Amino acid sequence: MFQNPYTSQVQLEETGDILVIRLMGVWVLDRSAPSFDEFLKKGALPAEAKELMLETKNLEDWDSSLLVFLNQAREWADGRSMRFNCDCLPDGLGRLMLQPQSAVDSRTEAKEPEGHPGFAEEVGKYTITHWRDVRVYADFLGEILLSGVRLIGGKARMRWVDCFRAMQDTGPMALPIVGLISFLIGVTLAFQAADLLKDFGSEYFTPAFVGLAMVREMGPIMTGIVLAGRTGAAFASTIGSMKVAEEIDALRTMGVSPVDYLVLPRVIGLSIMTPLMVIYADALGILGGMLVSKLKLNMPIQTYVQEIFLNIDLTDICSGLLKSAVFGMIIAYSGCLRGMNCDTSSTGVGRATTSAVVTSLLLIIISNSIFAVIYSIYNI
Amino acid sequence: MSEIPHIEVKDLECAYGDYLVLEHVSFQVNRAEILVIMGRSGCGKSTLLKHMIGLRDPASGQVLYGGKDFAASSDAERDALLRKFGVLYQSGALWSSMTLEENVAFPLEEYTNLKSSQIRDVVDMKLSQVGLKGFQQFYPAELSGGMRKRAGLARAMALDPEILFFDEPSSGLDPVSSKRLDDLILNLRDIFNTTVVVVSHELDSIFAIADQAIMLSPQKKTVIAKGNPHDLLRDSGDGVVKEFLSRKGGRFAG
Repeated sequence: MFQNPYTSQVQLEETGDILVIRLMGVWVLDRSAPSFDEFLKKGALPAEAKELMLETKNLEDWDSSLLVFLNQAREWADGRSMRFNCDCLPDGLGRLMLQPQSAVDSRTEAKEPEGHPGFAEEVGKYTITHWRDVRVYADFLGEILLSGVRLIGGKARMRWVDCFRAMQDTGPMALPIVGLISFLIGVTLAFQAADLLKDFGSEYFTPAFVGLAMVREMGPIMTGIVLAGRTGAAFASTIGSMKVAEEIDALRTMGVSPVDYLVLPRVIGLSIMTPLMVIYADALGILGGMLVSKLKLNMPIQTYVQEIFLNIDLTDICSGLLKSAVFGMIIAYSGCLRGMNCDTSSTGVGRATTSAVVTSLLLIIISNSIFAVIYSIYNI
Repeated sequence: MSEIPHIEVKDLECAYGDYLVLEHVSFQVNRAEILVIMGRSGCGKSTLLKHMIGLRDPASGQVLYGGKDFAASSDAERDALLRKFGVLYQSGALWSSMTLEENVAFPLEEYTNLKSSQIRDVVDMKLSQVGLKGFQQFYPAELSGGMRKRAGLARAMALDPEILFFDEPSSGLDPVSSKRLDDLILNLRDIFNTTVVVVSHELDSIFAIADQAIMLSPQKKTVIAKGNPHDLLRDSGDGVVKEFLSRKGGRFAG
């Protein structure tokens, strides 16, 4: 048989009670070395021997791949109460062999991994954790309300700087993106409406359609979505990082409620700023519709404006603004909730951020449907 | 005359949900005494500290300050107790959106009626005490880890607390800064009669400052040794305690 001097080799020898394993050649990780299990399978190791000796006279180079083999050999020997003789190993190797065990005793307390849970157990666990989560959400909402009461009573210490910063971030800083999106939504709505209404010869209803859709639905929803992605995510990551750096603990041990100090200003800031942003979004959406009406339908600008004023009244606008104030609170609530309940690790902050956006979008859509039902009942 | 201990922990049990971390923990700390909570990583040192400063409520048992049960106190009493605490967190835990000056001034604004010029004087004094004079307008992110820690200490000391808690004060500090911090802790105790509770596993620091030490064990989930660390090293019959305090390994020392 051709023997490559650069490969790893094992030889077995039995002398009386002693089993000798000879390790030869090069044992490095980037060449495949035999595993002990393969070695076991190849030739039957006599299990009656009293001692397992390792001999490495012809060993040329080695690294962890040899250690893996040796560890497996030791486990095998221990399992048969065979003496594991590593006296003949090179000095460093013999010492290393003693180390991994030290890690074993520190893990004795670690939990045994449980077996794969059944379907019923999975469902049960899922239900329990989610029920617990619901309580966490409700608790947090309650805390915010109590904190609001404290603020009105003059007892809460709120950081107005944070409130203004939140307002600046949701307001002026978000103007370009909210403006662009609303404008394009207005354009799209106008195109759709113009094409459809033209078939019925009633393209002059385009301004009314664009205006109403914008003011009642698209303005608040699109603003909500943009702010959830921008501001809600920022809240979650800011508060989450504060939690990781024990800054929230530091507030608590100073007797300051983190809800008063961090959450309340953001909730207030957003519930004021979101409606203002929606007014701006409505205006730009209507402007987008105007552009399309002018270019596609050749409608005079004056007519467009007249139609808008004729068909949209204050109730329509206010219904949208009321909704958007609630959306603002939802965004701040979700962002802060996820931040405050963030895992204390850097991956935790990332997860909190994602989860904040998803939660706010979900809650915005749900509450929007609820508003639709209420508005239709009361004919608003 | 028997004096009421400044801090008394009575049969405390700490748990995260169903997961038990520590049980049957009892010890006392007298006024102006330095207690070190020591043990290997993961034995629940920081958990015990969190229970002592009220960040977590005990599963059972009590933490008493001057005979008053902390967890059972009303909000107002809790606030009054918290005012007497100073806590130095592991990474300093400075509020990253505020400058050092604002950080240190925060507890003063929160609890005192000082004028803003007076507050500034106190802040300057506290910062120079920890060797950070001139860094008032810096944000925490602009400082090194050791400086952040010292600034955290300045904030913890702002109200001249009766009790100072340190969570691993020497971690991340070079030997010289670490030694200076130890000296500062001893000075605070000597000058202001401050009671100090330190979580640490730095041997040099433990021997230098501790009047009393308790050692926690992750296996037994409770206190396995109590006393002056020098005495413990000399007299303890427990191999685990000796191994920890002498840094001598057992079978894998090599």
